[in-house]
Amino acid sequence: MIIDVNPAPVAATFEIGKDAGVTHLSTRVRVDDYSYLRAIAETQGGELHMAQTFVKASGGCSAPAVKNQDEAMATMGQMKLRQFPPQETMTKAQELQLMIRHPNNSGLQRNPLTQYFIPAHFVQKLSVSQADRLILSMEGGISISEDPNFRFDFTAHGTGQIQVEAIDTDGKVFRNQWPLEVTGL
Amino acid sequence: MQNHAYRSRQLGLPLAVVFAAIVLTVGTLFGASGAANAQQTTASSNRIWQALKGDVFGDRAILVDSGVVRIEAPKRAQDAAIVPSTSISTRPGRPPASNPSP
Repeated sequence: MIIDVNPAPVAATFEIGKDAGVTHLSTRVRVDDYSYLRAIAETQGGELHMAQTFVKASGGCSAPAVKNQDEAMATMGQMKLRQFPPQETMTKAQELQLMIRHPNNSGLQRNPLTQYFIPAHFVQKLSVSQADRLILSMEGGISISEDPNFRFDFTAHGTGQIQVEAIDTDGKVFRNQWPLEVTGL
Repeated sequence: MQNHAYRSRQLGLPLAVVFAAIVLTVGTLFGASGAANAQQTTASSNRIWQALKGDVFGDRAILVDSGVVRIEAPKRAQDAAIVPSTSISTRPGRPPASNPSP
């Protein structure tokens, strides 16, 4: 995913696991100015496909955090996973929403009291897997919003646990896992 | 006394000129900074993309709007720090995920 005008235009790179069945993916991003948002996908054959949409927004990268920094640091790394049953009875695709507490500081935000820049501190790597089979992995940057949030569908294989591992720019590793909620029928 | 008033009136003219000059300068400065902060347009965003493309993908061909991938985002963001965006990929030969199954 690319946001042309952002200081770091490559917002995130997602890799989708083989047979993971991920067909859509939603997240929240910072947009610094009026810009095209681009999704570029590489197929298994190595072709690149792009779609784009123009968004009118400004100041997203330097906008002050919603939460105060102490609170954000205290809850950092907490995760929540919501599982949604398949919407269509014909498919097995389940939907997951992963929420991670992390200030994801962009390095362009200022401390409201001292006016010093708050150093960049964000989730750099993320992987979601089921019983050691990769569903989705991400390499992120400063364009992913505070408290990163991802929603995507996937096809469950067996009843293994959902495992999540996130690594931030300080090298902190956050891990969590949840049992798969067997749905359908 | 009359002489004094005359002299200050004489001084008043150049002061007004200086003041006008200041107003003009400040005006142009603000005007200039306004132009520098002008919002990006589709054309300027595309120019950035053209310059960026090679750094990210080299000279690989990129197929645009081929239907394999789609992206959705609000046209105007309510909060620029939290813009919801969705990419949808569909594999050739499969119906898009949002379509109801037949």
